[in-house]
Amino acid sequence: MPLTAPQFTSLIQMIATAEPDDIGCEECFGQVAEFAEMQLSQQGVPEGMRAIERHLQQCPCCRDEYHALLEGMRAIRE
Amino acid sequence: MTQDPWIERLRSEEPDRSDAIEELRVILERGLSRSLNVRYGVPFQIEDIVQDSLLRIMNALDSFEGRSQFVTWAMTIATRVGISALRRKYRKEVSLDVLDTDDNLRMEFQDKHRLGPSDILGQREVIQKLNDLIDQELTARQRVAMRFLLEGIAVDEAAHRMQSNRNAVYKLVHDARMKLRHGLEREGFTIEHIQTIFAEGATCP
Repeated sequence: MPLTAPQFTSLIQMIATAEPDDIGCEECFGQVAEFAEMQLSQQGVPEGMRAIERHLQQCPCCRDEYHALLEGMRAIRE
Repeated sequence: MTQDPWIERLRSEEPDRSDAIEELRVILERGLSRSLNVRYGVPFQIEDIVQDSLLRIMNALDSFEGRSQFVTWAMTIATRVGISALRRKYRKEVSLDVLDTDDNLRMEFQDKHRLGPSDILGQREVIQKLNDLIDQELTARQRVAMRFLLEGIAVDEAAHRMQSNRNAVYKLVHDARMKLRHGLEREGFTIEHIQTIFAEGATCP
């Protein structure tokens, strides 16, 4: 079955944004708490955390959990 | 392993240990109640999720490296436990007739949306090359994983259907993306060029 035009656009994006040093879900999971604290304290993303940021852009599941983590941490800090 | 006060309390003798666990339970419940309600808005037993989370956290204390605050680390685990449980509970039965074909899951591109008769931008050549690369360089599992994601299926769901795990499916897709990128670059197509010719509004007249 052919890809639709939006799917094809997504495929091009997936190819264009592929980087050899992309990390996987488990590596992201191991560092996402630190990354979330930086986000919550409105610090910029340091160079060493760029891979986390890129993974969160690419992986909908990890992104969903990350946003839920931020939401939960805000509730805890209120 | 770090000597965080939380770690010390959670490893201490009773009754300090139980006090620490109860304190953490209240914190997790407050955080998860907000984050899971916002996401799912459906009835669920938060107590069960918090209990499962506490077990996972207690079993993982050795892996806490102190790179974040303990509570943030614990919430990371609890969030995954909660979302995974709710994803399983409310997993949608997604129709994937698209995969029930006998063409070895080859991806095809519906080019009528984009290509005019003159194809002055050379889109057809790129599409043909992509098709060749998909046929020749991707494994069947890579094609399936890619197709799942392009159909909007979550990586978790794809992993469930492929009897795999999220990390493995993500790696399959990542390796497939790199093969396609390198393949196109070998043929002389730069990523910048491809993005330009398939950018919105770049359709041939």
